[in-house]
Amino acid sequence: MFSDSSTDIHPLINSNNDDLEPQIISQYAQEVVDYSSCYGSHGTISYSALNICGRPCKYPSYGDFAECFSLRHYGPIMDTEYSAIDAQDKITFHDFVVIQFEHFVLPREIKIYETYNPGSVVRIYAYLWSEKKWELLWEDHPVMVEKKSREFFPKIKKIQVPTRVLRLEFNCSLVDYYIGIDAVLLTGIKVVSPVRHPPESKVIMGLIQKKLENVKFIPQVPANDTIEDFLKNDLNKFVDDLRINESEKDIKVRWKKEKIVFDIPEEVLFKIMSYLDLRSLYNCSRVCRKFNVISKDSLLYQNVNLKFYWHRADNKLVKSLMHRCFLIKKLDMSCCGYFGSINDEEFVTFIRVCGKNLTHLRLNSTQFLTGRCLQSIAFRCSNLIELELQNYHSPTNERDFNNLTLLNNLESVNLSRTSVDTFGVTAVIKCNPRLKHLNISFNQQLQIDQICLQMSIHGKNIRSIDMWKCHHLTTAGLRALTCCDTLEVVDFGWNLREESNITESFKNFIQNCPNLTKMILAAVRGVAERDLNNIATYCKNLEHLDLMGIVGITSEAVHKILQECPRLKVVDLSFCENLDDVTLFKWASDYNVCIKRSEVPSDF
Amino acid sequence: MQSSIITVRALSRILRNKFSTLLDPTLSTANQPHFVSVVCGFPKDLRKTYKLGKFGDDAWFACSNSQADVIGVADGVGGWSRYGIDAGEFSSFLMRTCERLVQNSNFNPQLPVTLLSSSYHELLDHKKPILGSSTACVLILNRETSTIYTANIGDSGFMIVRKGEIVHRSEEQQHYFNTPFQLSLPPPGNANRVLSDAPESADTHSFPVKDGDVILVATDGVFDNVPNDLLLETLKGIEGEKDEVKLQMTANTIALMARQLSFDRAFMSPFAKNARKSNINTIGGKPDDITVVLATVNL
Repeated sequence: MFSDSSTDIHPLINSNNDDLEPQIISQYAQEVVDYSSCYGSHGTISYSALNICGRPCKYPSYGDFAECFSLRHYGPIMDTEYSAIDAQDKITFHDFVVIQFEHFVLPREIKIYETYNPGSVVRIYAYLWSEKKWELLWEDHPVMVEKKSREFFPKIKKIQVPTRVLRLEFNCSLVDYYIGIDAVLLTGIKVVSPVRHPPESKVIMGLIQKKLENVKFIPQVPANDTIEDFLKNDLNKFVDDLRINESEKDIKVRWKKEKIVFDIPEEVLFKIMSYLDLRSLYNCSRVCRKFNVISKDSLLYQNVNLKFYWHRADNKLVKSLMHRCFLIKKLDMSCCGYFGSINDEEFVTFIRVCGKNLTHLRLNSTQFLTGRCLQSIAFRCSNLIELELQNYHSPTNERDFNNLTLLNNLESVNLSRTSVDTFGVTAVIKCNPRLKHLNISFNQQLQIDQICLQMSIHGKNIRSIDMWKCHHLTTAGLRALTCCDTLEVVDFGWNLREESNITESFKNFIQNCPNLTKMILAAVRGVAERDLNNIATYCKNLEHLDLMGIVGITSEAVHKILQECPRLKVVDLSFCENLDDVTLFKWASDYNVCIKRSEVPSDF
Repeated sequence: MQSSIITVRALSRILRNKFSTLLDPTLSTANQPHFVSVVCGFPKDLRKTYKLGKFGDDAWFACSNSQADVIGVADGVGGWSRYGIDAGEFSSFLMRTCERLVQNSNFNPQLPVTLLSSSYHELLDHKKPILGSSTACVLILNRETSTIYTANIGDSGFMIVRKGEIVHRSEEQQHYFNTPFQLSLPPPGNANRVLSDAPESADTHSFPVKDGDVILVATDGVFDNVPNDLLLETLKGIEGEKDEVKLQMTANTIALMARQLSFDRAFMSPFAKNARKSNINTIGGKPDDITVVLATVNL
């Protein structure tokens, strides 16, 4: 297992340590623990997160491969974070994947094989079993890089605690199409048990060295000067500085006497604190009594975004927030609660105490959610306008979602990739007449036609429906949707598969929905040329059109759409075979439209 | 003849497949039941460039994981070319997806039909519309029980030889003469004009195997041209053979035999015999793509 190739890359082995030779191993991901989103649907392996496991199968080819891990979204995400203060200065992430390796190692090098639109990885965390916490190994802004496959080596922090779970976070705002990740290779020093590894070498620090470490003074030495110069000019200053350091106590006393901070009126202090993020607020509450009182004011905690503190969020934090968040309106707890750090009981108590005023609640990919949590949300948060429960798979049964019928003010519901059943969705539609946005993508268990029927009766305000990869929509459902004339955004991706002729119902639908701005028809294989002509005739407001993977499209039909839909900005024509790339390129500049094209290099 | 021997060398390949997450895998299945397997074949048109896992419109795969060894062949149905569809793409994709599914964690070594049907459903989930149709035969050796599970749809097939006798043989599934059962994805709008069989209609068997059993998995290019007794005669000789090189020689022999007989116009081939049963008067072999995967069981 001790490979020559890996020792070549890693000169970090301590060669003096003859008695205990560290074994360096390189391993590919073994399994996927969790992920926020992927292009493929549950239970299939095309474009799914599972493809990140194992050795690279496509690298170094570059293309939109079904054998790689691909996220569902790309480009800048319009969603606003609930707490702008918490989001600023931080590199936001849109999606993540948590992967597990076979052996525990002290990580030394991570290699990510990116095979399509690289540059979106922004952060890497490692989970430390012994300390039950996540450690940030690397972070950086998303970058624009050349469009070819690459082995990505982030310079990771070298930690002395073994790990075998990594979390990669993605920010796709700079890539202009889907990303592809083939494999992740983790190289490190093999350890037997997941407990803390003794440090490799102990640095013995003397008294002077310790002192010097504390000194903040940096001598301003020009490049060509010598130590002599330092002694002549800066030594006195240096010695002074040391003395000050010793008498820190005096400074504190002096500072107290001046009472600078305490002269500021509380209102001003409050105003200042309203510009602080959650972490700073918690730090402030530890400064002094006055700060403590002000920083705990519940008016400061109207919008709480724990998405950026997911790695530190635990029961203790939820408990302490409970005493501060009486007036909370927007709460984002996405990604929180890994490895049991938050339990449902604590969350239920929190909702009972603070949930009354909640209007926006995001619980995407949370680990602690159970039927009880949903129940308490439904009972307590009657003012909810927005609810996101993406990736919630009920451990007990799908009836959990039926509690949601108690909510009547919802305008936006995200039930993507959940275990919700048809009855649950129809009930939500029935009980929420103001419903504007509904996301039920990836839910293959749903009978979409029934849902469309309910929508046609009750959904008088509906603006957007996302039924990506629900698979079971037929022309009957499409006909029902004809009644929803307020629709602006529809996502029929991967639906209508068994239908060979959708022309009539599709024409009716677009005729009755004049406000359509975004229409996804990806892999609706039955779309024919006459349907495209209908789009050109009726969809004058169209801005985004996705026709990925439709066989019989001709350049004439595309040209007609480009001519007739003046607002068109994005057209996805990937895997449409009969089109001439050169003409498309010309049209893209003529009509100022972004035309997406991707294909698989034919290697078979 | 000389040129075809060179091609045999080029096309034959000793199968090796290991799976481990480590960069340098040390996985050993040597003391567990496993296949020693080799492959050989010819595309109908030798001018086609060779791609791994394909012989013309035929495709094959052989791989293993900790639970099982899996072998499969698929024969893309021609006749799609007038729709502008490459018949080989469908079969090749089907096999490559099977291979990937075997490495997946929820692979069940007792359900070859599930393997075929999930592979077929992956086709539907591919961004690129992969159209066409194919026959398929998948054979799984479950290491734990030393049992073979098979699924066969259409006229590709397998044959198992033990002690000089054919102990198991797949049966052809045909709608009518020269039209086998097939998995298919027709171009949109043609669904009712095309024969399409569900993966679940596959013929399935399971039986225990013994050390040294010879397993031949091949497409109809072999079974339509080489008579059974001739195949048996050839396979007898390698019972218990664990040497890959010797296996390879036999596989080459069978493939060459099939190739030669398929172009022999005066030969009363199994294909011609079957044609006569359907009142079609014909003689000679049936030129087709040929794929031979030959394996011996090593317990």
